Amino acid sequence: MILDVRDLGVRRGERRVLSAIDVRVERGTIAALVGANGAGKSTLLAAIAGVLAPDRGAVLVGGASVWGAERERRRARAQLGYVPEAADPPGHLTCDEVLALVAAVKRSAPIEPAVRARLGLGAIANVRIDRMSLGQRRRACLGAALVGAPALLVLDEPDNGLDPAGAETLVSLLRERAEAGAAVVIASHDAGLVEKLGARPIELAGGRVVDPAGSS
Amino acid sequence: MITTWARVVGAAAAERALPVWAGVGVVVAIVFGGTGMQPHDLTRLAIGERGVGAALAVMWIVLVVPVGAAMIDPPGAAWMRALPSSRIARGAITAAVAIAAQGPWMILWGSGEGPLAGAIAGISAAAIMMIAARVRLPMRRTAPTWRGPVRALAGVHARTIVRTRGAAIARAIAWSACGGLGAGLVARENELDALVPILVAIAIAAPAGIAGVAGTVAESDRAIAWASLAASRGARAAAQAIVLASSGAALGVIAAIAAMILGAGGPIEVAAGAALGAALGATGVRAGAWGVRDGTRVVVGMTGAAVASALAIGALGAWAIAGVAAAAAGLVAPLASRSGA
Repeated sequence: MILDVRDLGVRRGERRVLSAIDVRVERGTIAALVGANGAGKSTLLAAIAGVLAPDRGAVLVGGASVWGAERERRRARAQLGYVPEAADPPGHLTCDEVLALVAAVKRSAPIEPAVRARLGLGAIANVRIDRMSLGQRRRACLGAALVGAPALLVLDEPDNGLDPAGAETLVSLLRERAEAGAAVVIASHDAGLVEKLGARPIELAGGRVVDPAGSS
Repeated sequence: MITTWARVVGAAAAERALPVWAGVGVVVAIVFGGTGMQPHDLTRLAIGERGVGAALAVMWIVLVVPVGAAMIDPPGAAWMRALPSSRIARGAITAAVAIAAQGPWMILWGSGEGPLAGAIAGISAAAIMMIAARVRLPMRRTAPTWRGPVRALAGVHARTIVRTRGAAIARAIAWSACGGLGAGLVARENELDALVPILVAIAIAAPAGIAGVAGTVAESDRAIAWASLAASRGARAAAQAIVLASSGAALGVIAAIAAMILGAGGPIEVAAGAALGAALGATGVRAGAWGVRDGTRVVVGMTGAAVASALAIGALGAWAIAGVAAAAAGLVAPLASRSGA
C-alpha cells in the first residue's frame, strides 16, 4: 500500500471540513475523489500532499508520515507529485525553471525527455508562466508533478484547461504511471475522465467518505 | 481628457517618486544637519571632483529611473491613447511630470548654483530618466541546473527579486550609495575615523533597501511551496536567508565604496560593511515572514532593525556587528523548525 489515510480530520477556523477520513490506495491503482462542490475533495488532497495540516489522524505515504518528524516527513513528501487545483507557479519563472526547481528539491533526475515531449513542454521551455495559456500552465504543472517519477501522484482537477489532445495525453500518462507501479489519486467532477482512467471512485459528502467500505 | 491624462501619469510618478523624496529628505537631514554643509558646498564638490559629481548624478538617475518606468505605461493609459486627444499635449504633460519628479535634484542645484543651473539639472535629469527607463536588459533564460534544494530555492528567490522588484533594487542601491556618500562627507568634514559613520549609514540604508524585497522573498517561498514539498523547513529558511543576506552584503559594500570615493574608509570598512549588511539582510527573513500578508509589517520590522543596529553601533562601534549577526540568527532559527507545511 502506498497511501494510508487514517481517521483524518481537518478544520478551517471554526469549521470542520473533513471528519474521520479513512482511505487506502494500493500501488498500481488509480483512485478518484468525487462529490459535490465543497465536499472536501481538494482539502483532502492538500492534507495528503502535506500542504494543509490536519488536526487529527495520519497520512502515510510509503509508510512514512507526511506530517511526522522532519526526516520522515521529507521521505514521505519526496515520493509525492502534487498539483493543486489552483496550481500557479510564480509568473516570472519559465517552465524549465519550475521543472529544475522540483528536480533539485527532490534530488531526482530531470523530467524524462519522453514525458516532457508528450506534454509539449519543449515548445514552452523558456516561456514565462505568466505568458502561457491556462492549458500550457497546467501542462507545466503536470510536468513538475511527474519529475522524479513519484510513487504517488496527487492531482486536483488535472484536466482543467487542457484541450482534448492534452486530456488524452493526460489519461495515457497516468495509466502508464499506474501500470509502472505508481498510485494516482485525483479529484474530479469529470465523470468521463474518471471512466477513461478506470479509476476507483471514492465519494465524499459533507467532509466524510460516503461509503467507507469502498474506501479501502 | 488632458486633465485625466495628467492624473494618470502624475499618480503613477508620485507613487514611486514620493518614497524617493522622503528618503532623500532623511539623507539631506543627516548630511547638511550633521556637518553644517550647505548645498553650495556639495555642488562645488561635485563640480570640482569629477568622481563625486559622476557618483552623485548616477545615484540620482538610478533613484528616479523607476519613476520614469512607471510613467511609460501607467495603468489605464492604454485605452486613453486610443481616444482622440492631442499627442503633443500628452507628451507635454508627461515631460512636465518627469521634470517635477526631479524636485530634490533641482532644489540642490538651484540652491547651490542658481535657478538656471537648477532648471538645466532638472530638465537634463528628466530626459536621461525617460531614456534610461525604456532600456530593457535581455533576460537569460537557459534551463538552470541547481544542485540541492537550498541552491534551487535561493535561485528562484533571486530570480523573483531581479525580475519583479527592479524599482526596489534601484532604490536600495541608491539609498546605500547615498548613505555611503553622506557618511564619507561626515567623516571628511569632521576629520573622524570613517568606520563608525559608514556602519551607521549602512544600518539605516540597508534595512530600507531590504524592506523592499523581504516580503517578496517570503511570498516567493509561499508561492512555490506546492512544488517544493520535499524541501525541509531548514532548507526553505536557509534559502531565504542566503538571498537576503547576500543582498544586504552587496548594499553594505556599495555604501562603503561610495564613502571611499570621498577618500573615507578602505578595505576594512568594505569588509565590515559587507558583514553588517549581511546580518541586517538576514533579519529580513523574519520581517518577511511576519509581513507576508501585510507589507507594512515588513517596513515596521526593518525599521526596528535599523534603529536597534544604529544605536548599537553608536554605543559599541564595530563590535555591534557581532550582536546584529547573533540577533539575525536568533530571528531566523525558529523559522527553520516551525511546524506547518
